Amino acid sequence: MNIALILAAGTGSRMGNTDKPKQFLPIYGKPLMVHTIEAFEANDDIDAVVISTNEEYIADVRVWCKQYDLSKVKLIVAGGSSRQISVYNGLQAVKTLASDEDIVLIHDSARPLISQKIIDDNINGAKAFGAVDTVIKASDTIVQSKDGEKIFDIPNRTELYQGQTPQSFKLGLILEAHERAINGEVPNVTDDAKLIIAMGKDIHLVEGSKLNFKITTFDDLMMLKALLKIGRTEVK
Amino acid sequence: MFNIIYKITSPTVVEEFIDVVDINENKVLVKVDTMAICKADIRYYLGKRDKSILNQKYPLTPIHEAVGVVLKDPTNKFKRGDKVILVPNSINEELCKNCPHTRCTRNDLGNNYCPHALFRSSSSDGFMRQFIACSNNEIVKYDSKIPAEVAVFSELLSVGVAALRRINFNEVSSVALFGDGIMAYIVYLVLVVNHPNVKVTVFGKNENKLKEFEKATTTTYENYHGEKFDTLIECVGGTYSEDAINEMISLSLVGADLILMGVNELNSAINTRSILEKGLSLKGVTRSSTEDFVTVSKMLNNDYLRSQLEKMVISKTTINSINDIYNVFDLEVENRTIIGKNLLKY
Repeated sequence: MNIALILAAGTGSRMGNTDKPKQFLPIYGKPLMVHTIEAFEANDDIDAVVISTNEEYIADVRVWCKQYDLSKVKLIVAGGSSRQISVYNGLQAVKTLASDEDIVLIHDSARPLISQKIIDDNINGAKAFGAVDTVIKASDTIVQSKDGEKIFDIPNRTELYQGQTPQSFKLGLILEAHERAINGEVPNVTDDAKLIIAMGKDIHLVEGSKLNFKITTFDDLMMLKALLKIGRTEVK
Repeated sequence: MFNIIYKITSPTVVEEFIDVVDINENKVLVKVDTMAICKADIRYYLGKRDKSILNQKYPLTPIHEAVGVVLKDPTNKFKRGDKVILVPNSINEELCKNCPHTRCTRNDLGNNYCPHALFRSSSSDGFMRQFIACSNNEIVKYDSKIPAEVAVFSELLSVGVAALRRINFNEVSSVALFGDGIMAYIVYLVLVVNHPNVKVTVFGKNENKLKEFEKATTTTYENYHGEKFDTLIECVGGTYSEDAINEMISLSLVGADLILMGVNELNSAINTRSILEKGLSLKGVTRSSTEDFVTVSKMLNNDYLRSQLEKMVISKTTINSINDIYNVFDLEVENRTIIGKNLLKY
Protein backbone atom coordinates (compact mmCIF):
# COMPACT_ATOMS: atom_id res chain seq x y z
CA MET A 1 0.00 0.00 0.00
CA ASN A 2 1.29 3.46 -0.90
CA ILE A 3 -0.12 6.48 0.92
CA ALA A 4 0.47 10.16 0.19
CA LEU A 5 0.62 12.38 3.27
CA ILE A 6 -0.08 15.92 2.10
CA LEU A 7 1.13 18.68 4.38
CA ALA A 8 -1.23 21.63 4.21
CA ALA A 9 -0.80 23.25 7.59
CA GLY A 10 1.38 26.20 6.57
CA THR A 11 0.44 29.70 7.61
CA GLY A 12 1.46 31.43 4.39
CA SER A 13 3.19 34.21 6.27
CA ARG A 14 5.47 34.92 3.32
CA MET A 15 2.62 35.41 0.82
CA GLY A 16 2.16 39.15 1.31
CA ASN A 17 -1.23 40.78 1.63
CA THR A 18 -3.57 37.80 1.84
CA ASP A 19 -5.59 36.35 4.65
CA LYS A 20 -5.30 32.78 3.35
CA PRO A 21 -2.35 30.42 3.65
CA LYS A 22 -0.77 29.79 0.24
CA GLN A 23 -2.05 26.23 -0.12
CA PHE A 24 -5.65 27.47 -0.07
CA LEU A 25 -5.24 30.28 -2.62
CA PRO A 26 -7.38 29.74 -5.73
CA ILE A 27 -5.52 28.97 -8.95
CA TYR A 28 -7.68 28.48 -12.06
CA GLY A 29 -10.80 28.07 -9.97
CA LYS A 30 -9.64 25.67 -7.29
CA PRO A 31 -7.42 25.82 -4.21
CA LEU A 32 -3.73 25.26 -4.92
CA MET A 33 -3.64 22.15 -2.67
CA VAL A 34 -6.44 20.53 -4.72
CA HIS A 35 -4.23 20.69 -7.85
CA THR A 36 -1.48 18.98 -5.82
CA ILE A 37 -3.76 16.24 -4.51
CA GLU A 38 -5.14 15.63 -8.02
CA ALA A 39 -1.63 14.63 -9.11
CA PHE A 40 -1.68 11.85 -6.49
CA GLU A 41 -5.30 10.94 -7.30
CA ALA A 42 -4.19 10.35 -10.90
CA ASN A 43 -1.40 7.96 -9.98
CA ASP A 44 -2.54 4.33 -10.10
CA ASP A 45 0.01 3.26 -7.49
CA ILE A 46 -1.26 5.66 -4.82
CA ASP A 47 -3.90 3.87 -2.75
CA ALA A 48 -4.88 6.60 -0.31
CA VAL A 49 -4.24 10.23 0.60
CA VAL A 50 -4.08 11.68 4.11
CA ILE A 51 -4.13 15.45 4.62
CA SER A 52 -2.59 17.21 7.60
CA THR A 53 -3.96 20.74 7.64
CA ASN A 54 -4.79 23.76 9.77
CA GLU A 55 -7.53 22.83 12.24
CA GLU A 56 -9.68 25.78 11.21
CA TYR A 57 -9.58 24.66 7.56
CA ILE A 58 -10.52 21.00 8.09
CA ALA A 59 -14.19 21.64 7.25
CA ASP A 60 -13.24 23.55 4.08
CA VAL A 61 -10.83 20.82 3.00
CA ARG A 62 -13.56 18.21 3.53
CA VAL A 63 -15.90 20.22 1.27
CA TRP A 64 -13.22 20.57 -1.41
CA CYS A 65 -12.56 16.83 -1.36
CA LYS A 66 -16.23 16.26 -2.16
CA GLN A 67 -16.53 19.16 -4.60
CA TYR A 68 -13.49 18.07 -6.63
CA ASP A 69 -14.15 14.33 -6.23
CA LEU A 70 -10.88 13.56 -4.43
CA SER A 71 -11.91 10.00 -3.75
CA LYS A 72 -8.53 8.76 -2.46
CA VAL A 73 -8.54 11.17 0.49
CA LYS A 74 -9.31 8.92 3.44
CA LEU A 75 -8.42 11.06 6.44
CA ILE A 76 -8.00 14.75 7.21
CA VAL A 77 -6.22 15.56 10.46
CA ALA A 78 -5.17 18.70 12.28
CA GLY A 79 -1.54 19.67 11.79
CA GLY A 80 0.51 21.36 14.46
CA SER A 81 2.64 24.34 15.30
CA SER A 82 5.66 22.91 13.44
CA ARG A 83 6.25 20.84 10.35
CA GLN A 84 7.46 17.95 12.48
CA ILE A 85 4.24 17.89 14.54
CA SER A 86 2.09 18.13 11.39
CA VAL A 87 3.96 15.18 9.86
CA TYR A 88 3.71 13.16 13.06
CA ASN A 89 -0.04 13.79 13.36
CA GLY A 90 -0.41 12.77 9.72
CA LEU A 91 1.65 9.62 10.26
CA GLN A 92 -0.57 8.63 13.17
CA ALA A 93 -3.52 8.81 10.77
CA VAL A 94 -1.63 6.89 8.09
CA LYS A 95 -0.91 4.19 10.69
CA THR A 96 -4.64 3.46 10.96
CA LEU A 97 -4.70 2.62 7.22
CA ALA A 98 -1.38 0.87 6.66
CA SER A 99 1.28 -1.40 8.11
CA ASP A 100 4.98 -0.83 8.85
CA GLU A 101 6.17 -2.10 5.45
CA ASP A 102 3.79 0.16 3.50
CA ILE A 103 5.12 3.30 1.84
CA VAL A 104 4.26 6.85 2.84
CA LEU A 105 5.11 9.78 0.56
CA ILE A 106 5.27 13.04 2.51
CA HIS A 107 4.62 15.97 0.19
CA ASP A 108 4.15 19.73 0.51
CA SER A 109 0.70 20.82 -0.66
CA ALA A 110 2.34 23.93 -2.11
CA ARG A 111 4.28 21.92 -4.73
CA PRO A 112 1.48 21.47 -7.30
CA LEU A 113 3.72 20.74 -10.30
CA ILE A 114 4.86 17.35 -9.04
CA SER A 115 5.17 14.92 -11.93
CA GLN A 116 3.93 11.34 -12.13
CA LYS A 117 7.54 10.24 -12.67
CA ILE A 118 8.63 11.75 -9.36
CA ILE A 119 5.75 9.98 -7.59
CA ASP A 120 6.62 6.68 -9.32
CA ASP A 121 10.33 7.02 -8.53
CA ASN A 122 9.55 7.79 -4.87
CA ILE A 123 7.40 4.70 -4.51
CA ASN A 124 9.93 2.45 -6.22
CA GLY A 125 12.85 4.00 -4.31
CA ALA A 126 11.17 3.73 -0.90
CA LYS A 127 10.28 0.10 -1.60
CA ALA A 128 13.87 -0.68 -2.55
CA PHE A 129 15.77 1.35 0.06
CA GLY A 130 13.30 2.20 2.82
CA ALA A 131 13.93 5.94 2.63
CA VAL A 132 14.30 8.37 -0.30
CA ASP A 133 14.48 12.13 -0.69
CA THR A 134 13.58 14.07 -3.83
CA VAL A 135 16.37 16.43 -4.86
CA ILE A 136 17.65 18.44 -7.80
CA LYS A 137 21.29 19.22 -8.48
CA ALA A 138 22.30 22.67 -7.29
CA SER A 139 22.73 24.80 -10.40
CA ASP A 140 23.80 27.99 -8.63
CA THR A 141 26.91 28.29 -6.51
CA ILE A 142 25.86 27.96 -2.87
CA VAL A 143 27.47 30.37 -0.46
CA GLN A 144 27.51 29.71 3.27
CA SER A 145 27.49 32.58 5.72
CA LYS A 146 27.15 32.21 9.46
CA ASP A 147 26.55 35.86 10.29
CA GLY A 148 24.75 37.03 7.15
CA GLU A 149 27.53 39.51 6.44
CA LYS A 150 30.61 37.56 5.36
CA ILE A 151 31.13 34.36 3.39
CA PHE A 152 32.11 31.51 5.65
CA ASP A 153 32.48 28.87 2.93
CA ILE A 154 31.65 28.06 -0.68
CA PRO A 155 30.97 24.31 -0.73
CA ASN A 156 31.79 22.22 -3.79
CA ARG A 157 28.68 22.57 -5.98
CA THR A 158 29.02 19.11 -7.50
CA GLU A 159 28.21 17.63 -4.10
CA LEU A 160 25.23 19.88 -3.42
CA TYR A 161 21.57 19.26 -4.11
CA GLN A 162 18.41 21.17 -3.33
CA GLY A 163 15.83 19.26 -1.34
CA GLN A 164 12.26 18.98 -2.55
CA THR A 165 9.38 16.71 -1.64
CA PRO A 166 8.10 14.01 -1.59
CA GLN A 167 10.27 12.42 1.04
CA SER A 168 9.21 8.80 1.11
CA PHE A 169 9.70 6.05 3.64
CA LYS A 170 8.54 2.72 4.88
CA LEU A 171 5.93 3.71 7.43
CA GLY A 172 7.49 1.80 10.31
CA LEU A 173 10.86 3.49 9.77
CA ILE A 174 9.61 7.09 9.68
CA LEU A 175 7.27 6.50 12.62
CA GLU A 176 10.17 5.14 14.66
CA ALA A 177 12.29 8.17 13.71
CA HIS A 178 9.59 10.58 14.87
CA GLU A 179 8.97 8.70 18.09
CA ARG A 180 12.68 8.66 18.90
CA ALA A 181 12.78 12.43 18.28
CA ILE A 182 9.79 12.94 20.59
CA ASN A 183 11.52 10.82 23.25
CA GLY A 184 14.70 12.85 22.87
CA GLU A 185 16.73 9.94 21.50
CA VAL A 186 17.48 11.93 18.31
CA PRO A 187 17.40 15.73 18.06
CA ASN A 188 14.26 17.51 16.83
CA VAL A 189 14.80 18.76 13.27
CA THR A 190 12.76 20.46 10.57
CA ASP A 191 13.19 17.75 7.99
CA ASP A 192 12.09 14.11 7.96
CA ALA A 193 15.20 12.99 6.10
CA LYS A 194 17.36 14.44 8.88
CA LEU A 195 15.49 12.31 11.42
CA ILE A 196 16.41 9.19 9.47
CA ILE A 197 20.05 10.30 9.15
CA ALA A 198 20.10 10.92 12.91
CA MET A 199 19.15 7.26 13.33
CA GLY A 200 22.21 6.31 11.29
CA LYS A 201 20.19 5.07 8.31
CA ASP A 202 20.82 5.72 4.61
CA ILE A 203 18.54 7.84 2.46
CA HIS A 204 18.73 7.44 -1.29
CA LEU A 205 18.20 10.25 -3.79
CA VAL A 206 15.34 10.54 -6.27
CA GLU A 207 15.70 13.03 -9.08
CA GLY A 208 13.21 15.88 -8.78
CA SER A 209 12.46 18.66 -11.21
CA LYS A 210 12.88 22.41 -11.22
CA LEU A 211 9.17 22.62 -11.98
CA ASN A 212 8.44 20.91 -8.66
CA PHE A 213 9.12 24.20 -6.91
CA LYS A 214 7.35 25.23 -3.73
CA ILE A 215 4.96 28.17 -3.76
CA THR A 216 6.41 29.99 -0.79
CA THR A 217 6.46 33.64 -1.73
CA PHE A 218 4.34 35.97 -3.82
CA ASP A 219 7.02 35.75 -6.54
CA ASP A 220 6.61 31.94 -6.66
CA LEU A 221 2.87 32.38 -7.14
CA MET A 222 3.47 34.85 -9.96
CA MET A 223 5.92 32.39 -11.53
CA LEU A 224 3.29 29.63 -11.45
CA LYS A 225 0.65 31.91 -12.95
CA ALA A 226 3.04 33.07 -15.67
CA LEU A 227 3.88 29.46 -16.58
CA LEU A 228 0.18 28.64 -16.80
CA LYS A 229 -0.58 31.70 -18.91
CA ILE A 230 2.08 30.77 -21.47
CA GLY A 231 0.84 27.18 -21.53
CA ARG A 232 -2.70 28.23 -22.36
CA THR A 233 -1.72 29.60 -25.77
CA GLU A 234 -4.13 27.98 -28.22
CA VAL A 235 -3.77 26.95 -31.86
CA LYS A 236 -4.87 29.90 -33.97
CA MET B 1 -4.56 19.45 -11.98
CA PHE B 2 -1.53 20.78 -13.74
CA ASN B 3 -0.06 19.03 -16.72
CA ILE B 4 3.04 19.30 -18.85
CA ILE B 5 2.07 19.76 -22.46
CA TYR B 6 4.53 19.79 -25.36
CA LYS B 7 4.24 22.15 -28.30
CA ILE B 8 6.13 22.61 -31.55
CA THR B 9 6.88 26.33 -31.49
CA SER B 10 8.93 26.62 -34.69
CA PRO B 11 10.60 24.17 -37.08
CA THR B 12 12.48 21.46 -35.09
CA VAL B 13 11.79 23.22 -31.79
CA VAL B 14 9.60 21.50 -29.18
CA GLU B 15 8.97 23.24 -25.87
CA GLU B 16 7.42 22.30 -22.54
CA PHE B 17 4.45 24.26 -21.26
CA ILE B 18 2.36 24.00 -18.11
CA ASP B 19 -1.36 23.62 -18.65
CA VAL B 20 -4.40 23.18 -16.44
CA VAL B 21 -6.42 20.04 -17.11
CA ASP B 22 -9.99 21.22 -17.42
CA ILE B 23 -11.68 18.63 -15.18
CA ASN B 24 -15.44 19.17 -14.96
CA GLU B 25 -18.67 17.19 -14.72
CA ASN B 26 -18.98 16.79 -18.51
CA LYS B 27 -15.44 15.63 -19.24
CA VAL B 28 -13.69 12.28 -18.94
CA LEU B 29 -10.20 12.50 -17.44
CA VAL B 30 -7.80 10.26 -19.36
CA LYS B 31 -4.16 9.44 -18.70
CA VAL B 32 -2.40 9.26 -22.04
CA ASP B 33 -0.43 6.02 -22.26
CA THR B 34 1.11 5.46 -25.71
CA MET B 35 1.48 7.75 -28.73
CA ALA B 36 2.60 7.39 -32.34
CA ILE B 37 3.91 10.12 -34.62
CA CYS B 38 2.16 10.70 -37.96
CA LYS B 39 3.68 12.13 -41.14
CA ALA B 40 1.52 15.24 -40.55
CA ASP B 41 3.27 15.71 -37.19
CA ILE B 42 6.61 15.37 -38.97
CA ARG B 43 5.60 18.08 -41.47
CA TYR B 44 4.88 20.47 -38.59
CA TYR B 45 8.06 19.39 -36.79
CA LEU B 46 10.21 20.03 -39.86
CA GLY B 47 8.23 23.12 -40.90
CA LYS B 48 7.39 21.54 -44.25
CA ARG B 49 4.17 23.39 -44.89
CA ASP B 50 3.46 26.79 -46.35
CA LYS B 51 4.96 29.44 -44.06
CA SER B 52 1.68 31.33 -43.74
CA ILE B 53 -0.05 28.15 -42.53
CA LEU B 54 2.76 27.31 -40.12
CA ASN B 55 2.58 30.79 -38.62
CA GLN B 56 -1.09 30.18 -37.88
CA LYS B 57 -0.47 26.73 -36.39
CA TYR B 58 2.53 27.32 -34.10
CA PRO B 59 2.64 26.76 -31.20
CA LEU B 60 0.98 23.39 -31.80
CA THR B 61 0.80 20.30 -29.62
CA PRO B 62 1.47 17.35 -31.94
CA ILE B 63 0.11 13.76 -31.95
CA HIS B 64 -3.30 12.52 -33.02
CA GLU B 65 -2.56 8.79 -32.63
CA ALA B 66 -2.85 7.87 -28.97
CA VAL B 67 -4.41 5.55 -26.44
CA GLY B 68 -4.94 6.08 -22.73
CA VAL B 69 -6.57 4.93 -19.52
CA VAL B 70 -9.68 6.47 -17.95
CA LEU B 71 -9.04 8.00 -14.54
CA LYS B 72 -12.40 9.59 -13.89
CA ASP B 73 -15.71 9.84 -15.74
CA PRO B 74 -18.43 11.96 -14.14
CA THR B 75 -20.74 11.01 -17.06
CA ASN B 76 -20.58 7.32 -15.95
CA LYS B 77 -20.06 6.01 -19.48
CA PHE B 78 -16.59 4.67 -18.59
CA LYS B 79 -14.98 3.18 -15.49
CA ARG B 80 -11.61 4.04 -13.97
CA GLY B 81 -9.05 1.79 -15.62
CA ASP B 82 -10.90 1.41 -18.93
CA LYS B 83 -8.40 1.40 -21.79
CA VAL B 84 -9.49 3.80 -24.50
CA ILE B 85 -8.55 5.01 -27.96
CA LEU B 86 -8.46 8.79 -28.23
CA VAL B 87 -10.50 10.13 -31.17
CA PRO B 88 -8.80 13.15 -32.73
CA ASN B 89 -11.82 14.50 -34.60
CA SER B 90 -13.98 16.80 -32.50
CA ILE B 91 -17.44 17.67 -33.83
CA ASN B 92 -19.58 20.54 -32.60
CA GLU B 93 -23.07 19.24 -33.39
CA GLU B 94 -24.62 22.63 -32.65
CA LEU B 95 -22.91 23.96 -35.76
CA CYS B 96 -24.41 21.11 -37.85
CA LYS B 97 -27.96 22.36 -37.39
CA ASN B 98 -27.84 25.13 -40.01
CA CYS B 99 -24.89 23.82 -41.98
CA PRO B 100 -25.13 23.84 -45.82
CA HIS B 101 -22.96 20.68 -46.02
CA THR B 102 -25.76 18.13 -45.78
CA ARG B 103 -23.97 15.16 -47.40
CA CYS B 104 -21.82 14.55 -44.32
CA THR B 105 -24.77 12.55 -43.00
CA ARG B 106 -24.28 9.90 -45.72
CA ASN B 107 -22.73 6.73 -44.33
CA ASP B 108 -19.98 6.60 -46.97
CA LEU B 109 -18.89 10.10 -46.00
CA GLY B 110 -19.56 10.81 -42.32
CA ASN B 111 -18.67 13.61 -39.98
CA ASN B 112 -14.95 13.20 -40.55
CA TYR B 113 -15.55 15.56 -43.48
CA CYS B 114 -17.30 18.18 -41.32
CA PRO B 115 -15.75 21.54 -42.22
CA HIS B 116 -16.36 22.75 -38.67
CA ALA B 117 -14.63 19.78 -37.04
CA LEU B 118 -11.48 20.38 -35.07
CA PHE B 119 -8.71 17.88 -35.65
CA ARG B 120 -6.07 17.24 -33.01
CA SER B 121 -2.53 18.28 -33.91
CA SER B 122 -3.82 20.34 -36.80
CA SER B 123 -6.69 22.69 -36.02
CA SER B 124 -6.56 22.04 -32.27
CA ASP B 125 -3.85 20.92 -29.88
CA GLY B 126 -2.92 17.25 -30.01
CA PHE B 127 -2.43 14.53 -27.43
CA MET B 128 1.21 15.04 -26.43
CA ARG B 129 0.51 15.52 -22.74
CA GLN B 130 0.14 13.13 -19.83
CA PHE B 131 -3.48 13.97 -18.98
CA ILE B 132 -6.38 15.13 -21.09
CA ALA B 133 -10.02 15.91 -20.33
CA CYS B 134 -12.32 15.12 -23.25
CA SER B 135 -15.96 14.50 -24.11
CA ASN B 136 -17.17 10.94 -23.66
CA ASN B 137 -17.79 10.63 -27.42
CA GLU B 138 -14.12 11.42 -28.10
CA ILE B 139 -12.89 8.15 -26.60
CA VAL B 140 -13.63 4.54 -27.52
CA LYS B 141 -13.05 1.63 -25.16
CA TYR B 142 -10.93 -1.32 -26.29
CA ASP B 143 -10.30 -4.72 -24.75
CA SER B 144 -8.02 -4.39 -21.72
CA LYS B 145 -6.07 -7.50 -22.79
CA ILE B 146 -4.81 -5.76 -25.93
CA PRO B 147 -1.42 -4.06 -25.42
CA ALA B 148 -1.42 -0.28 -25.72
CA GLU B 149 1.43 -0.44 -28.27
CA VAL B 150 -0.89 -2.42 -30.55
CA ALA B 151 -3.99 -0.32 -29.92
CA VAL B 152 -2.06 2.86 -30.66
CA PHE B 153 -2.34 2.01 -34.38
CA SER B 154 -6.14 2.41 -34.09
CA GLU B 155 -6.22 5.89 -35.58
CA LEU B 156 -4.42 4.66 -38.69
CA LEU B 157 -6.74 1.66 -38.88
CA SER B 158 -9.76 3.93 -38.48
CA VAL B 159 -8.66 5.95 -41.50
CA GLY B 160 -8.42 2.67 -43.42
CA VAL B 161 -11.93 1.74 -42.28
CA ALA B 162 -13.21 5.20 -43.29
CA ALA B 163 -11.58 4.83 -46.73
CA LEU B 164 -13.19 1.46 -47.34
CA ARG B 165 -16.59 2.97 -46.45
CA ARG B 166 -16.33 4.65 -49.86
CA ILE B 167 -16.37 1.27 -51.61
CA ASN B 168 -19.42 -0.89 -52.23
CA PHE B 169 -17.92 -4.31 -51.53
CA ASN B 170 -21.00 -6.07 -52.89
CA GLU B 171 -19.66 -5.14 -56.35
CA VAL B 172 -15.95 -5.59 -55.72
CA SER B 173 -13.83 -8.73 -55.95
CA SER B 174 -10.40 -7.20 -56.45
CA VAL B 175 -8.66 -4.00 -55.37
CA ALA B 176 -5.44 -2.32 -56.50
CA LEU B 177 -3.56 -0.65 -53.68
CA PHE B 178 -0.88 1.89 -54.61
CA GLY B 179 1.86 2.56 -52.06
CA ASP B 180 4.20 0.54 -49.86
CA GLY B 181 4.30 2.78 -46.80
CA ILE B 182 2.52 2.49 -43.51
CA MET B 183 -0.83 3.85 -44.71
CA ALA B 184 -0.94 1.35 -47.58
CA TYR B 185 -0.04 -1.40 -45.14
CA ILE B 186 -2.83 -0.37 -42.77
CA VAL B 187 -5.42 -0.29 -45.59
CA TYR B 188 -4.14 -3.72 -46.66
CA LEU B 189 -4.66 -5.02 -43.11
CA VAL B 190 -8.22 -3.63 -42.97
CA LEU B 191 -8.91 -5.24 -46.35
CA VAL B 192 -7.62 -8.70 -45.43
CA VAL B 193 -9.30 -8.66 -41.99
CA ASN B 194 -12.68 -7.19 -42.95
CA HIS B 195 -12.88 -8.36 -46.60
CA PRO B 196 -10.89 -11.61 -46.76
CA ASN B 197 -12.44 -12.66 -50.09
CA VAL B 198 -11.28 -9.57 -51.94
CA LYS B 199 -8.10 -10.07 -54.02
CA VAL B 200 -5.57 -7.34 -53.24
CA THR B 201 -2.76 -6.29 -55.60
CA VAL B 202 -0.21 -3.91 -54.09
CA PHE B 203 1.84 -1.62 -56.36
CA GLY B 204 5.03 -0.33 -54.73
CA LYS B 205 8.65 0.58 -55.25
CA ASN B 206 10.47 -0.94 -52.29
CA GLU B 207 10.86 -4.74 -52.45
CA ASN B 208 11.60 -5.07 -48.73
CA LYS B 209 8.43 -3.23 -47.82
CA LEU B 210 6.36 -5.16 -50.36
CA LYS B 211 7.37 -8.44 -48.69
CA GLU B 212 5.28 -7.38 -45.67
CA PHE B 213 2.05 -7.55 -47.71
CA GLU B 214 2.12 -11.33 -47.39
CA LYS B 215 -1.54 -11.99 -48.23
CA ALA B 216 -1.53 -9.79 -51.35
CA THR B 217 -0.04 -9.99 -54.82
CA THR B 218 2.76 -7.45 -54.95
CA THR B 219 4.35 -5.80 -57.97
CA THR B 220 5.78 -2.64 -59.42
CA TYR B 221 3.76 -0.66 -61.95
CA GLU B 222 6.40 -1.23 -64.64
CA ASN B 223 6.34 -5.02 -64.17
CA TYR B 224 2.56 -5.39 -64.03
CA HIS B 225 0.86 -6.83 -67.11
CA GLY B 226 -2.30 -8.26 -65.56
CA GLU B 227 -5.96 -7.30 -65.60
CA LYS B 228 -7.21 -3.79 -64.98
CA PHE B 229 -9.25 -2.81 -61.90
CA ASP B 230 -12.54 -1.22 -61.03
CA THR B 231 -11.42 -0.19 -57.51
CA LEU B 232 -8.03 1.44 -56.91
CA ILE B 233 -6.72 3.04 -53.71
CA GLU B 234 -3.89 5.56 -53.59
CA CYS B 235 -1.80 5.65 -50.38
CA VAL B 236 1.34 7.29 -51.75
CA GLY B 237 1.09 10.98 -50.88
CA GLY B 238 3.74 13.63 -51.42
CA THR B 239 5.09 14.47 -54.83
CA TYR B 240 4.95 10.83 -55.96
CA SER B 241 1.16 10.75 -55.61
CA GLU B 242 0.90 12.44 -59.01
CA ASP B 243 2.66 9.50 -60.69
CA ALA B 244 0.61 7.03 -58.68
CA ILE B 245 -2.73 8.62 -59.63
CA ASN B 246 -1.79 8.62 -63.32
CA GLU B 247 -0.74 4.96 -63.08
CA MET B 248 -4.05 4.18 -61.38
CA ILE B 249 -5.95 5.96 -64.17
CA SER B 250 -4.12 3.89 -66.76
CA LEU B 251 -4.97 0.65 -64.93
CA SER B 252 -8.65 1.58 -64.43
CA LEU B 253 -11.56 -0.17 -66.05
CA VAL B 254 -14.42 1.96 -67.35
CA GLY B 255 -16.41 3.42 -64.45
CA ALA B 256 -13.74 2.57 -61.86
CA ASP B 257 -13.58 4.21 -58.44
CA LEU B 258 -10.27 5.80 -57.43
CA ILE B 259 -9.91 6.37 -53.68
CA LEU B 260 -7.30 9.03 -52.91
CA MET B 261 -5.74 8.95 -49.44
CA GLY B 262 -2.24 10.44 -49.76
CA VAL B 263 -1.59 14.08 -48.86
CA ASN B 264 0.29 16.17 -51.41
CA GLU B 265 1.00 19.80 -50.56
CA LEU B 266 1.43 20.54 -54.28
CA ASN B 267 -1.16 20.40 -57.06
CA SER B 268 -1.06 17.22 -59.14
CA ALA B 269 -1.09 17.12 -62.95
CA ILE B 270 -3.36 14.17 -63.74
CA ASN B 271 -4.69 12.69 -66.95
CA THR B 272 -8.19 14.20 -67.06
CA ARG B 273 -8.72 12.99 -70.65
CA SER B 274 -8.65 9.37 -69.47
CA ILE B 275 -10.81 10.22 -66.46
CA LEU B 276 -13.42 11.59 -68.86
CA GLU B 277 -13.08 8.80 -71.40
CA LYS B 278 -13.37 6.07 -68.75
CA GLY B 279 -15.98 7.83 -66.65
CA LEU B 280 -13.86 7.46 -63.53
CA SER B 281 -14.88 8.62 -60.04
CA LEU B 282 -12.20 10.10 -57.79
CA LYS B 283 -13.09 10.03 -54.10
CA GLY B 284 -11.09 11.93 -51.52
CA VAL B 285 -10.63 10.32 -48.14
CA THR B 286 -9.43 11.98 -45.01
CA ARG B 287 -9.56 11.16 -41.33
CA SER B 288 -12.23 9.10 -39.63
CA SER B 289 -15.21 9.39 -37.31
CA THR B 290 -15.93 7.92 -33.88
CA GLU B 291 -17.91 5.07 -35.51
CA ASP B 292 -14.76 4.00 -37.39
CA PHE B 293 -12.91 3.78 -34.07
CA VAL B 294 -15.70 1.58 -32.70
CA THR B 295 -15.21 -0.72 -35.71
CA VAL B 296 -11.46 -0.76 -35.06
CA SER B 297 -11.89 -1.58 -31.35
CA LYS B 298 -13.70 -4.77 -32.46
CA MET B 299 -11.12 -5.52 -35.16
CA LEU B 300 -8.33 -5.46 -32.54
CA ASN B 301 -9.62 -8.81 -31.27
CA ASN B 302 -8.48 -10.39 -34.56
CA ASP B 303 -5.36 -12.48 -33.87
CA TYR B 304 -3.80 -11.97 -37.31
CA LEU B 305 -4.28 -8.21 -37.14
CA ARG B 306 -2.71 -8.00 -33.69
CA SER B 307 0.26 -10.14 -34.75
CA GLN B 308 0.90 -7.82 -37.69
CA LEU B 309 0.53 -4.65 -35.60
CA GLU B 310 2.99 -6.02 -33.02
CA LYS B 311 5.58 -6.25 -35.81
CA MET B 312 5.08 -2.56 -36.55
CA VAL B 313 6.53 -1.45 -33.21
CA ILE B 314 10.12 -0.45 -33.96
CA SER B 315 10.84 1.01 -30.54
CA LYS B 316 9.14 2.28 -27.39
CA THR B 317 10.53 5.30 -25.56
CA THR B 318 9.28 6.44 -22.17
CA ILE B 319 9.14 10.22 -21.93
CA ASN B 320 11.40 11.25 -19.07
CA SER B 321 12.44 14.56 -20.55
CA ILE B 322 11.96 16.67 -23.64
CA ASN B 323 15.10 15.05 -25.10
CA ASP B 324 13.18 11.79 -25.48
CA ILE B 325 10.63 13.60 -27.63
CA TYR B 326 13.33 15.08 -29.85
CA ASN B 327 14.99 11.68 -30.17
CA VAL B 328 11.82 9.90 -31.27
CA PHE B 329 10.78 12.67 -33.68
CA ASP B 330 14.25 12.51 -35.23
CA LEU B 331 13.97 8.71 -35.53
CA GLU B 332 10.63 9.11 -37.30
CA VAL B 333 12.06 11.74 -39.66
CA GLU B 334 14.61 9.14 -40.75
CA ASN B 335 12.12 6.25 -40.76
CA ARG B 336 11.75 5.59 -44.47
CA THR B 337 12.56 1.97 -45.09
CA ILE B 338 10.61 0.02 -42.51
CA ILE B 339 6.85 -0.41 -42.11
CA GLY B 340 6.56 0.54 -38.48
CA LYS B 341 6.77 3.32 -35.95
CA ASN B 342 8.86 4.47 -33.03
CA LEU B 343 6.40 4.92 -30.17
CA LEU B 344 6.33 7.31 -27.23
CA LYS B 345 5.02 6.25 -23.82
CA TYR B 346 4.33 7.89 -20.49
